[in-house]
Formats: sequence, C-alpha cells, structure tokens
Amino acid sequence: MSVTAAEVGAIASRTIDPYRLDRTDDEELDELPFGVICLDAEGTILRYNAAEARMARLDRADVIGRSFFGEVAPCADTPEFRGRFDDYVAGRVDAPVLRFAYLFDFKFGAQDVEVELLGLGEGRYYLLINRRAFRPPREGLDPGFPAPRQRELVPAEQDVGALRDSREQRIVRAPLQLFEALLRTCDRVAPKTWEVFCREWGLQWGRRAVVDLEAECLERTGESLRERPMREVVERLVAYLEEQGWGGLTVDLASADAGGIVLELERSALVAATRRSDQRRCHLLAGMLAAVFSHLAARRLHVEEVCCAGTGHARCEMLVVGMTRRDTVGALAREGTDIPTILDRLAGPPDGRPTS
Amino acid sequence: MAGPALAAPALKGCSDRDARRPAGELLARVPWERRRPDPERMTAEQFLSVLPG
Repeated sequence: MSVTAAEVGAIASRTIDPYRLDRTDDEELDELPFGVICLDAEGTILRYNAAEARMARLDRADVIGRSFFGEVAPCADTPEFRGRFDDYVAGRVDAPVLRFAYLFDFKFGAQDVEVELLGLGEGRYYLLINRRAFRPPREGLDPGFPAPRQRELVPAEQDVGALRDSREQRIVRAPLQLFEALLRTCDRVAPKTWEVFCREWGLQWGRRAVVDLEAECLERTGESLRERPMREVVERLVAYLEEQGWGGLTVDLASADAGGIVLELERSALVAATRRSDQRRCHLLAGMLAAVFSHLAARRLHVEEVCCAGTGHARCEMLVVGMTRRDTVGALAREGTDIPTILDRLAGPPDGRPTS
Repeated sequence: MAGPALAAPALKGCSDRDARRPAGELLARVPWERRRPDPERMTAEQFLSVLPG
C-alpha cells in the first residue's frame, strides 16, 4: 500500500501492506491516520483502530464484538453500503478490492468518506475509511439512522463517572504527582531509564497527537497538515500543547537556516511534576514532538532536549534536526553545550560535505 | 507485489501526490545552505525538507 506506507513510514519507518493487515498488530493499525475496521461476514466488529475511534467519537473497547450495521453504524445499513458488503462477502463482486464513496451520518455531523473493502480470507473483511469532508448534521433523518453517540451506545458509563473531552474521547485526569511517582520508580528499579522510557512513551503519544491534529486540520480546512503553511501548522501545534497543559511552546522557525529548529518550552508540566536534579526531564515531550515533526516532514526527524528548566535553566530548549545529526546533537547536549554553539556547529556543511 | 495497487489516501489531497513525490523534491536540487525557508508560503512538508540529514 504505497500511499499509507508514505504516511506510516514518516513516523514509524515501516510500511503497511494491505494484504498483511490481518498480520498487523493493533499498535500498527493505531498509527494509521485513517480509519480501519475489520468485520466478519455477519458484520460483527473484530478490530477498530484509533483513528476510526477518534473520527466516530466512540471507544474501541465498546464497539468490538458489536454489529457494525445494526448497532454502531446504522447509517451504513443501506443497499449502498451493506448491500455492497453482502455482495462482496457472497462473492458477487468480481474484484479483490471494492471501493466506493459514502456519507456517514453521525449525530454531531456528516462525513464524506471513501471506503475500500478488502477480504483477507477466513471471514475477515477490512474497511479502510478515508475522510474527505466534514459537514453539519443532515436534517430530516429518521432518529435511528445516524450512528449513536458513545453515551447512547454505553449509557451505563454515566453512572460510573467516566470523563470525556469535547470530542467525546474518554480521558483520565492524571495528577502531576503521577510523573514524580514514575520517576522515583525508574530511579529505583533501573536508573537512567527515564530518558529511554519517556522518549518512547512520547513517540507513541505523539502518533496519537498526529491523528488528533490531522483530524482537526481536515475538519477546519479540508487539507492535511503537510499541505498547510508551516507558520499555521506551528500555531496549531502550540495551541494543542497549551490546551493539553504541557506548557507554552515557542518555535523559532528562523533557526531552520542554521540547520535546526529551536523550540523553547516554558511552564513545562514535566518539570513542574518532578524535583530539581541534574537530569533533563522533558524527554516525553521531545519524543512527542519528534513524532509530530516527523509526520509533517514525511521523514524521520529527531528532537533533542538540549537544556531543561528542571536542571536550573530559565526554560527548556529543544532542537529539531535530521536523523543523521541526532548523535552529534545528543553528544553536545550531554556535554552541556548551549543551543547557539550547537547551531554554529550545525551551520557548517552536514557531515563535512563540501558546500559547492 | 501482485494484486491491485490499493490507494488508501490517509487524508484528502495529501496522499496520492505525496506518495509519488519525494519530500522536498525541488528543494533538494538547491544546495541546502542557500535555501531560505519561508514559513508563511511554504507548506509544512516543504519547510521541513530544508533541514539537512
């Protein structure tokens, strides 16, 4: 699947082959920024990825095992959707892949989608769902036709105090002391693992952030993030981090001339959560930002926290660089080299290549 | 591989084109030190393609 390979390769350096979807684990499916649903021949949901959950505003755990056409998406229980699915399952479609356009009706709005249906044997049928446009809710529909909201699908959750954000995605309010507790655990069990653990955690989290940011951009502009002007994308990223409480990010785009983009972070939530030490603390955010910038660039980029407010600096400073400069920047940061000096080093030709 | 070339563009507009066009295709022909990235006019992908490495 060359196209999705371009998307996924940007953040994961690996590709997804549609004929291997059945051998792809849930984590890989969750890295795809478009919807993936696996059904059996009766339409029971077997798999459901994070992007689809985000777009449909439903929890994966609550849709697995339910009837796609009967419970989760009655708006697809039509001749144009279910009829095609049934024809495909019955072998009445003379093509390995069935593609069609459709309009999903949700109670919060309608979505123009393009659907690809692919059977992978043993009663497993994959729906790849690409959003094309977002519209207001259609009027005059039978009340039971649009897809139900999460609270309608699982009404009992309101009794147990489940929290949801404005997109109806379930959230947990984690106190900052959680990070302090995690740090203490890391220090006791395996010192020096904080950086590795948090960077990997950040990368995973950043891939979820990409889905959120792309969905928001598509809803607002009809285009993907990569197609939007860099300044606008940065403003959206800064607002996203602020909304989530990570801190105030400033992006110095002019520094790209020197071969790296300088990021400054004030009020870092991670610094606030952990005690002062001689160790940098914001590796989670560095990993998260690396995933986002890599997605935007359609190639892997590295984000290094060069200095941290947690070690006594006025603010946290990070540097976005190409992967071939990761080791150099990492070594300089560990030596305590400041950003201007690192940029001076980077201002030379990369890897000693002549500039002519 | 055998079989149809599935085009599952992740999001409108970006995928088919992105798949066929290397990032920073045009910029890649310009020595990196002479590029002046413009964040107001360049797309995010074009802008970031300027970073070496």
